[in-house]
Amino acid sequence: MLEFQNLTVQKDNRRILDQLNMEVVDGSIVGLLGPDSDAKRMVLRIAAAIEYPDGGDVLLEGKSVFDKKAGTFMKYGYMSNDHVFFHQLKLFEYYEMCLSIYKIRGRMARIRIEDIIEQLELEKYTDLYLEELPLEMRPFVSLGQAIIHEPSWLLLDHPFNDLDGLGREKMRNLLAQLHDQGMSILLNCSMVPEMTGLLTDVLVFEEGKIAISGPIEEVVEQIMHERPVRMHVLSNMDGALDVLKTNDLVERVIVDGSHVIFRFRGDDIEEARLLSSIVKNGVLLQNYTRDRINLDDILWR
Amino acid sequence: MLNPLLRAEWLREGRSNRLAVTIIFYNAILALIIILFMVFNTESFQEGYYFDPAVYRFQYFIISAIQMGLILLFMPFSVWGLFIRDNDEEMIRRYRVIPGFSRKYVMSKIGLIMSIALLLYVSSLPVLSLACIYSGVTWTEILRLGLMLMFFSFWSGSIAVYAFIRRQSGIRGFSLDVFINLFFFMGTLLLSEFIHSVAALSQGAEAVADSADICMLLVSMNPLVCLTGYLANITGDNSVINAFCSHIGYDNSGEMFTFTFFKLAGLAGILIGLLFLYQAVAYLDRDARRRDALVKAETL
Repeated sequence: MLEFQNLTVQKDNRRILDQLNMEVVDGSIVGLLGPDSDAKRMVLRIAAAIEYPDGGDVLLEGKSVFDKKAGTFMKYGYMSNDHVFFHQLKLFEYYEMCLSIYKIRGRMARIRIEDIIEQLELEKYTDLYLEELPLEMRPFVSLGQAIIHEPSWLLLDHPFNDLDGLGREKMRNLLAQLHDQGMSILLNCSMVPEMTGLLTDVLVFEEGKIAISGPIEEVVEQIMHERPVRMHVLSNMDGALDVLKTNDLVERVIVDGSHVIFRFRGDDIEEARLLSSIVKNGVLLQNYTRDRINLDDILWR
Repeated sequence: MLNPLLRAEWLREGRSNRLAVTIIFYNAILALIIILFMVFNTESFQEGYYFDPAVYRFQYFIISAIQMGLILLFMPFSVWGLFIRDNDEEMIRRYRVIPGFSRKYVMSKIGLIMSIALLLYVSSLPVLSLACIYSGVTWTEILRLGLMLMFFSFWSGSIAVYAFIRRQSGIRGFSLDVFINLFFFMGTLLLSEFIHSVAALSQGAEAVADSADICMLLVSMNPLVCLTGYLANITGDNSVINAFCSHIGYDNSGEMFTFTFFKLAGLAGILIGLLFLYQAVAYLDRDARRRDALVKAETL
């Protein structure tokens, strides 16, 4: 389990993370979503012990990721979104260096590198220097660097950046494959189509805190259910407003000409009862809909 | 096992054109100086002219000193180029939590610096051998020059590595590097002069004698002392160190002085280099940020 305990990060008089507490269970693929891109990126970088928080801790399987002696560095791999490489090295040399840092050398290292190159389909790029790689292959090289030492956790920052449609599909399949191999994944991403069917859970960040969290189906349903309701009232506007004001599940009622807009927190049955009450009160309704909402705007910024 | 980061540095440096350009310019400068000496000494190659080996040995010393000077002068610039900021900064941040990484990183930088210095020395051997032919310099003195170059590159490289690691930007690292170099080259001399002057003005002959020991200790940390020792070894000329000792009132007439003092200065230089490398590793390794974060957490 990956635990974030009271994480606080402050930069330039702004709280990027504010007393963040969350747990990510083994075997999940968790998407970090929402408009707060600084917070999402910081969560990953702190979990990878690249940045230090101003307060709090991150525990991986009960041990702090900042404790060198705990050896947690072998258990996670981090992929950044800027693909920083040693550009004058070739692929094999770069992976060899990365593995050597983890003290894996010799025949084991060679076998592991060959497996990675095969899994990521990078065979035809092994003779090129990293600076000569096509732009769309660099995320895969970066992913290879993250998984080279066979970690159990992957921390991915925008893995779909710089990829075209086919590349994104390939990356998605690779992540699904890695998940099937037993890796848990925490990723920061904003691409809707690729996330479909991949994520098990989502965390939506706003202003340094988690606004919504949970399994993706429940989160989407919750968001969809919070869309504003719009009624077109042909007559007896006062009757409609009376019913709405007396209902505890109704919030933020706005009258816009002959339209009434409000938020309703209840479930489908309670909503049906509300609609019946409005009609029984003699209100003539021409239209009762929920506003269209762009899921991308809510989740995927 | 070879340091993986040092291997990566060798590959990186070897595949860039910077090293080739450095070697070409380094040897071009030395060749130009040799040619100038040959022009100035044209008469000596004429039949019947008296050949004075002392003059040529002094010229050999000048060529050697210029090599050392080039190493010292261009070290801050060349080390600056080794710290490709984005790559190195991100790599340090990513891997510093792995035990031993900081040490490997620092050793890879100093290892590369000394490898380049060795390469420059080896590449200059054909040019140096011209000096051998007409100056009568022996192979041991050629080797001693190599050791001197390694010493100066280690000394100045250690300081440069520390400076660029300690400071976040290239300009600040460069400034710190230059400042530390100036302190050792000029600061030790000025400080010893200050101590001698204070002692001479205020406290009399006994105090001057005591201060002379302190001044010699300070000056032993100055790498130029090693250069004067090298001068004495090549040309037999001890005038520089004799003048200094005479000025501060230090008795260097003993036989052991020449044997021990320059070796002490060399050892001091190596220890100073090791100290800066240790500080560089300690800076990368420090848990201070983590401790600061924990302290802040209690107050938040």
